[in-house]
Amino acid sequence: MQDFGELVLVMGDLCIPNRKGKLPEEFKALLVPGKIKHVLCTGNVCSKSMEQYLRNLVVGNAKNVHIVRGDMDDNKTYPEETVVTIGGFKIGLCHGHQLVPTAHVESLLNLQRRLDVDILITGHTHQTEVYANDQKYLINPGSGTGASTYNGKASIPSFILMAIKGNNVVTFVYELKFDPETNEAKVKVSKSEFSKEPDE
Amino acid sequence: MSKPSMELKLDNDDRTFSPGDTIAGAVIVNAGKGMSHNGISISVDGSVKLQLSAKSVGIFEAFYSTLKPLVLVEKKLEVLKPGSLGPGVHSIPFQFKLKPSNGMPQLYDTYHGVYINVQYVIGALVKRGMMQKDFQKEMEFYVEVFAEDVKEKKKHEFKISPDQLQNVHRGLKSKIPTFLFEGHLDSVICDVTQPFTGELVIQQCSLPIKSVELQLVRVERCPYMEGEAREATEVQNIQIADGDVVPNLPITINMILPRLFTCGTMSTKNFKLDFEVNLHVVFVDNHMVTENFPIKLYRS
Amino acid sequence: VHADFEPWKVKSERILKKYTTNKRIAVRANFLEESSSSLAGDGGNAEENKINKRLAELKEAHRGGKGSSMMTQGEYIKHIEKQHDDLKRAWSKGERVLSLRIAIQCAKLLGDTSVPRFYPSMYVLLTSILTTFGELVFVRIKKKSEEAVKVAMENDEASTTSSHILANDFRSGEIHSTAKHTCRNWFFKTVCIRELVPRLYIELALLECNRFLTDNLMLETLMRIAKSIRGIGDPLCATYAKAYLATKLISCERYLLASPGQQLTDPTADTLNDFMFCFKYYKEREWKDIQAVANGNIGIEEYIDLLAPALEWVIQIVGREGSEKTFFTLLQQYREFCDSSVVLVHILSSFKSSLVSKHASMLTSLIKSSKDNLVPKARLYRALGVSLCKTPPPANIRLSLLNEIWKTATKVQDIKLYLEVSQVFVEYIAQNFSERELNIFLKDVIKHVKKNKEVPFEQLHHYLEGMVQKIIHNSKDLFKIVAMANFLPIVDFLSKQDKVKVSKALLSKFVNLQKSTADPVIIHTLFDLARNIHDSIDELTYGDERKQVSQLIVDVIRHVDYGRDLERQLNFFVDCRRAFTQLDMVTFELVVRVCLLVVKAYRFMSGKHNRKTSAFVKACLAYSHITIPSLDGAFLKLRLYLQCAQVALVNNMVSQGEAFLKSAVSLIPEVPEYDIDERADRKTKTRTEPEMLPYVLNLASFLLIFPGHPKNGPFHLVKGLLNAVQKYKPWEKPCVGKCKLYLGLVHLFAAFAQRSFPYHVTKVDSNDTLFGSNDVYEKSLSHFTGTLLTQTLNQLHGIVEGKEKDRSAKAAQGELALDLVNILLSTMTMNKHSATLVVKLYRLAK
Repeated sequence: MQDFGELVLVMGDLCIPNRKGKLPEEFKALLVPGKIKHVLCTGNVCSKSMEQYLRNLVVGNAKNVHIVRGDMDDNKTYPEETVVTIGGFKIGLCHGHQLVPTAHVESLLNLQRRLDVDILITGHTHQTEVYANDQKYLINPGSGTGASTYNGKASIPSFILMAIKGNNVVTFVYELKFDPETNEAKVKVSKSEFSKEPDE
Repeated sequence: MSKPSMELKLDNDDRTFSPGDTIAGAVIVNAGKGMSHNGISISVDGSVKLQLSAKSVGIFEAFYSTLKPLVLVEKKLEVLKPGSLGPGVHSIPFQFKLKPSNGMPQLYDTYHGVYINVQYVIGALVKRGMMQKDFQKEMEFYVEVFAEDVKEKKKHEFKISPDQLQNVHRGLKSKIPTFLFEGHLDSVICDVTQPFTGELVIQQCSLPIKSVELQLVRVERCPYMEGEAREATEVQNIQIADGDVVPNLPITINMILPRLFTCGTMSTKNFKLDFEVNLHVVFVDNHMVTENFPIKLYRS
Repeated sequence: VHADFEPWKVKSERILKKYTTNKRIAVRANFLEESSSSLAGDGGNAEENKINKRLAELKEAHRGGKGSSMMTQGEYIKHIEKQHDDLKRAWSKGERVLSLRIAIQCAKLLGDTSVPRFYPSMYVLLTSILTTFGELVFVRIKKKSEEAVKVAMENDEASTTSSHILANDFRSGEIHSTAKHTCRNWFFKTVCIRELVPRLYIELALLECNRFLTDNLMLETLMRIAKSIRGIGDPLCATYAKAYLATKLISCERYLLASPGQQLTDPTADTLNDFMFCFKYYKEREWKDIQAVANGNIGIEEYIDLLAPALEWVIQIVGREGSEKTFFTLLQQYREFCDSSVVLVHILSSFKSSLVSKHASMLTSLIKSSKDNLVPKARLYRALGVSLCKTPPPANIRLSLLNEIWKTATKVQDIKLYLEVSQVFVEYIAQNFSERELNIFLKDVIKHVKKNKEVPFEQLHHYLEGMVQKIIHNSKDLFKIVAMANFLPIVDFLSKQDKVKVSKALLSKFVNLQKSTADPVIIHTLFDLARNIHDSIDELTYGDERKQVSQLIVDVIRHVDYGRDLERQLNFFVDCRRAFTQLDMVTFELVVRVCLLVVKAYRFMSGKHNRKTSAFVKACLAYSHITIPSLDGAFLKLRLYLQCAQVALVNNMVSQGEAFLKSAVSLIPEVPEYDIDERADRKTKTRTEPEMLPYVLNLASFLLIFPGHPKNGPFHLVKGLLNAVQKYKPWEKPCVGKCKLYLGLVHLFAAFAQRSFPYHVTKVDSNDTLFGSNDVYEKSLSHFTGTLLTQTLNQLHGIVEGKEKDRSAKAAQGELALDLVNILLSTMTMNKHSATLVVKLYRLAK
């Protein structure tokens, strides 16, 4: 088997059960406990049971679950933002609703600068995004459940898996897309890779 | 520091030995601030004593006077020569082999009967100088003599019915209830270390039963003049049924033979010791039927 | 040990309550004095004398004796308790012989059945003393061994023994010879106790001490004692002695090893066989052998009932691990000797359900043919039913079994008894049959309940509640259950409280199905059930309960889905609002649902509303607008206002959106500085500011795209917001939070200044389109930005004002200043004015 390094699940805006009933079965089948080492959650988990679900994915690595607070989270113990180091990367995590203007590249880069991180992960928009610029990466896993947005845009269930090995990260974007040919929802994966210049 | 004193201790807590065993122990002397002594010694005495019970004095006067105790063991050993002991507690060990004195064919089980007593005593003596009291301690120890295991044990069956009764007053004959008791003893030759066992079945009984009891009796006999003096005493009485038991349900006969009060059956030219078990069935009207079973005991 | 195994402690409490007497009980006054003769004979008297004395004793014991006093039950219990204390005291003083005598005296009392009605209780009290005695001796000998081993270890350095402390499962080989000697002495003292009953009880009490001498003789000892109990003529006394044997068997069970080649039989099963053998004998003679029965003091049935607790205990222990062979042997004996329902009911409830179920037909016929009425047939069926529920019987007999049993059960006149059986069989039916059979069964239940005149209705509630719970628990298809003609009528029988309980169970079951429904009948039922639980909430309801009920109602609401029939869905939400007024969580959920409804409508119409759908959206927004103010939590309201405004804007309902935003803005000053939650189990007090900041920033982001007002200008909402935040208590003075807010607003205006905003809502014109390259807009913008910058600087200075020595304030100021520099550099074109500002800020940051 290929050595992927450390697997990091990036998922958020589940809005379970506020806007959506549950995580798609197709995703549940993919997310087998024990494989994933870190969970970075962009917030709007909205329920204890979902939080427990995420925690159960990283058996034995209880400290590796990071959840930030979304605008719909009642849990006041989630932080607004947090910084985690995995492999050679410093990763910032924030839901993003508190950025002005929301989810704008400039705002995100501002935050990235302020947190001084290599990778910034945000959510809120329910749209997946993997954006690389000048060795800085902005990642948005979209909504894990494809929960509705109020901006008229459609939302499909998605999450991101990062395989971090030293200064190398491979991201896999998983999306559950409706396939008009088979009339079924199908998981599509797209892959991208970044490397970071080693620190001097 | 406490006053000088002496104690006798045996290594074996239950103080029970068999012929050939080594008896080991220690004389423990607390010498206080130190003391001198004229020797420390151990004495062992084992004998068969024949005594009279107060009741039977009349009959046995002559008998008593004619029979001396039978000495089984007589031993004396010096464990420490005269000298002095420094302050504190001293333990002076000793050991010896238990065997009959010369001329005695064997040892007997320790036994305390009415007028037969087989007793073994060990004593310690610390002789002290003039004007000072010697220290002296005695204690009994127990001897168990083993015999070969008796292999041919035979079930002893019995049946008790009114027609077998002896000693019935003529006037009562008509009042005897109808009954039939059957049963068996697993053996009448018994190992004293094992329970005495069997079964009793009330086949039929027209009068309610109040109690069924097992009475262990020992019979001591000495040849006396031309005849024989005999004394039977109860050793223990154990109830095996209490109240009116349901017929045809076998009742267990089970009796542990009491230690010290029972021993192997003895038969010597000087005295005899036998055991018997009486089975008493007591009816509500307090009349009683008894069946007697002579038994032979041995120790394996 | 299976779950229904009732431990002795529980049973004994029941016994003490049930078996009482108002008769006086004889107790020997000279309790201790006459006991010495019970100990080993020491020779002496001629046999005749001894026997006579013994007879005299027996006689005296029978008469109650001249040296005895009569006590009431209360006095007697006190007397026994005193014995218990005396025993413990004597023991603690090291008076072993006295302790043994007390124990023997207590055991002796167990031979006295002269007050039969009290005997079971007496047994409980006295055996507890004996058990204490047994434990004391055991612990003492164990300790003696440990001490001796310790001394030996200290004297012998080469000792291989690792510890002198004995493990719980020690073996006899580990015991020091001194302790063995002591143990043997106890046994010798015991076996020569003359009377049978005390001897057996003391032997049992000391049973565990056998472990000191051998590893595998305990079972043999128990088997011997089991046989010896046959010698106890009195059935009451004998049966309870069997129970004590069973107790001891249980307590020493782990150590009951068989010696090689020894044939294992269960001594408790042996005693049970004996019991049945005797039972037949007494029964044939109509119990005339029992004095109390013969002289009419006690009825036969009552007498047998006195035996019941002991019997139950013994059968329970035999049945616990009982094999099929044991089971059959027992039934064989039951048939042959003792076809008494007292025995049968315990056989039914003590053996493994798999055995009972497998042979259910045979057992049914045994029940049918049982003749006495000691245990009503209904109870026997009930006991059978309990096993049938745990392990279903073979499929081919399930129905015939039910028919056979119910033929009898339906005739039961006593309504409580009837419901007791029904309660069990409803589960059996729910597990094994369809709703059709269940419905027929429930009809029978309803008939009985309605017919009942004797028993007050309240007394039946808990049976019915139990039944309903079992139906719910076992239902495979909840909808079919609810649709059954006879189900809801049964629920209607229940008390208000029980209805709430049942409603909760039903709703939870429904929610766990994870299946949405549009069935009007079901929804109607669910709605009624939800209202039941909602209405059970009042001011006094605890926080947890409130939360649980809220969650349940919310979950139910989520599972009602009319699909494309949006109007109907909205109507449902209207009904819900009217019905569930007390719970914030529910109200909040309703508004969220309505917003999602609007999103759905938007999707269906692909963003182009017609008149009808547009009216529908307006209706939804109106619903939200009316509903939100009824919430208690300020942030709940704020969140919803923003969400609704977003929904309104997407649907191009600008004026509605504005209304929501204005409500939100005007609410901000009213948010208190601390959020006090009194409903939580502990009163909690939290600062609201950490929540307020992200909220206002989020709101500000949205204001970017929200179109300005034709008359009031492009920034009137932002102005309103700026005014409002000043009135929010924590932001009356400069602080870090407020600075961060201002920085956010600077960002906002930087975005406002762009030709084209970074994002838009589809088909909605924002200010960039509405006012783009409009001079007035530009002017207003730069004016506003200027003011904002000044205010931001003021705030920045304000942070450290009066706290010059506060390092953390200084640090925060520096960080914020740097942020502002960042913003200015990235968003503004540099001119002289801004360059000076940047330099100033940079200094501040240093």
